[in-house]
Parts: sequence; structure tokens; C-alpha cells
Amino acid sequence: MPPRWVKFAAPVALVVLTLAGASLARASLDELAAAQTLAAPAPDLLGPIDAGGRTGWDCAPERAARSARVREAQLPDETGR
Amino acid sequence: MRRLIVPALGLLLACAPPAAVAQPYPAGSPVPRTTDPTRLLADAHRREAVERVRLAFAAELRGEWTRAQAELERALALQPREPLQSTARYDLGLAQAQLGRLDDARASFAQAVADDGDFIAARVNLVAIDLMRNDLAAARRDADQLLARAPDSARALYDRGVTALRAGDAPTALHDFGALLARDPAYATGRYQLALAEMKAARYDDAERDLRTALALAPAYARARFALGAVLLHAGKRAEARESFARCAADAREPALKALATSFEQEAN
Repeated sequence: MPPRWVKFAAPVALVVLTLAGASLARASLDELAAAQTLAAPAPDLLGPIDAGGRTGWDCAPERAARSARVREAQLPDETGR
Repeated sequence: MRRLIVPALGLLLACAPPAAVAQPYPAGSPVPRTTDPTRLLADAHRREAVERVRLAFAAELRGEWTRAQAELERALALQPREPLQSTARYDLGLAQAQLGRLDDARASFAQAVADDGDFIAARVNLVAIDLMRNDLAAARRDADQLLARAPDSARALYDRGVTALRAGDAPTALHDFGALLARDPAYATGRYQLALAEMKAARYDDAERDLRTALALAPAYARARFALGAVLLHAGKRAEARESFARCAADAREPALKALATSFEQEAN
């Protein structure tokens, strides 16, 4: 025969575990959402420059770095991922 | 009449300047006219440094980073003048980054910037390396300096926006991505970043609107679809959220995102 406290402990434990599980599920949902959405894509490094490539700043990495236009700035495009 | 024309033509031809006299020739490289050993050595070092940077550039294009690193270290040991020195440091930073030596890469880009403060590409890569090292304080400082030096640069705005977003500075991220999108409203990735900043600032309605705009521009944008699901879930729109997660799971190419979306779809039930 089980001890008397087990009769009370079992339902209490069930309630506690249910509540804990629910809050855990909720917390993990928020944390996962945060972790996922905070994964803002970092820009890639600009490419190499030749020995004569910076004459008059006429080189692709410098032009991309200075460009005011989004399409010329070599910014990340992750729309296909 | 014919007697007059022939002498006249002869006279004209005689007066015309000879073509060979007017032929211009490009100025050639000056021939070294020194026997001074110090100057000859300096010239040899200069030529060697240029050649090594060229070899390193070619090696980097082929993905031979170790070879490039060795050439650039040798070139820098020759102490070349500007702008070759900062260019060599920049290329060395790239090779070091590719070889996983991020601390060394940061030092190389920082030195390139110290050599030439107007070297904007080096400043851009410095911020990128800071972000790779997850050093948000350095990234923010370098991104602020980049934007101060190149206020019109789209890349500078993006870099500081990402840095601010990662550091939890929603107002700055909102400002920078807003300014970027004012230049190109059709930049879907920027729209997604703006939505992340809005979520951070608890502006969920704005975030939902911007995510829907990003998805209208790029319907297969799985990460934006996932974020929209999260916003909808937060708003209690479980059916719409479930639909968004299901679409994300279908569109995502990354296995981790696909699995996460499937898990969230089930959670939303």
C-alpha cells in the first residue's frame, strides 16, 4: 500500500507539471521567435583590391562602399532563402 | 586653267605641316638614372611590393588565401607607401578573415583605416568583422564612424542598422532602415530588417504591415514569412499564423528554418 502523502502528491505534481509545461511551451515559443527574428543578416565582406585598383578610387569595393544607391552597395539579399 | 591648278595644289601641299612632325608620343616611364644604392634598393622594394600585392590579389580571386596572406605579409614588410600600404592591409584582412583569424583581420582593417581615414571599403569591412566577432560595442563605434565619414553611403546605413538591431537599440535601427528604404522602398531585405526593429520596439502593427510589404515584393521570402507568423501569433491570430508558418515551411531552403516553421505551425494549433 502506498504512503498516504502519495495520494495527494500525485495530483499536485500533475497540476504543477501541466502548468510548468504550458509556461515552458509559451517561453520557448517567444524565445525561439526572438532568436529567429533577431538573426538579422550581416553584410558580406567587400572583395579584394588590386595594387593599382585604388587609383582615383576607381575600384568596385570602394564604389560599393560609397554608393548611395541600394542596388550598387552590395547589400544582402536573402529573399530567396 | 589646268596650268594654274597644279602649281596651286603643289603650293598647298608644301605649306601643310608634315604629319610625322605632329605625331604625339606617350610619355614613357622615366629611365632610372641613379647609381645611388639606397635609391636603387628603395625602387626595387617598391616594385616588389606592387608585384606581391598583384600576386596576392590574383590568389584571393582564386580563393588561395594562405598564398595571398604570405604575399601580403611580405609586401607589408617592405613598408610600401600609400595607397599601397593600406590596400595591402585591406587585402591581408580579407585573407585572415577567410582563414578564420578574425582578431588579426580586425587589426589589419583597423590599421588600413588608420593609414587612410578615407578608405571607406576598409571601414565597411571593419564593421563586418566586428559583427562576425560578435563585438557589438566595437561594431557600433566603427559603424558610427563609418556613417560620419560617408553619410550618403547605403552600406553605412545598413551596417549601423544591423549593429543597432543586434544590440537592441530599436530607435537607431528604425532610423537607419527607414532612411535606407526612403532611397529604395523595394528593398525587401531592408523592409524585413525594419520590421524586426518595429517588433523590438513593440510596434507590432507596423511590423505586420512591413512584413506584408516585404512578402508582396518577395513572396518566397521564408524568413519574413516566419516573422509574420510570429507577429500574428502575438496578436492572437492563430489561424493566420499557422498559415504563415506552413507557407514558411514550404518555402524555406534552410533545413533549420523549415523544421522551426513546422514546429511553430503545430504550436499554433
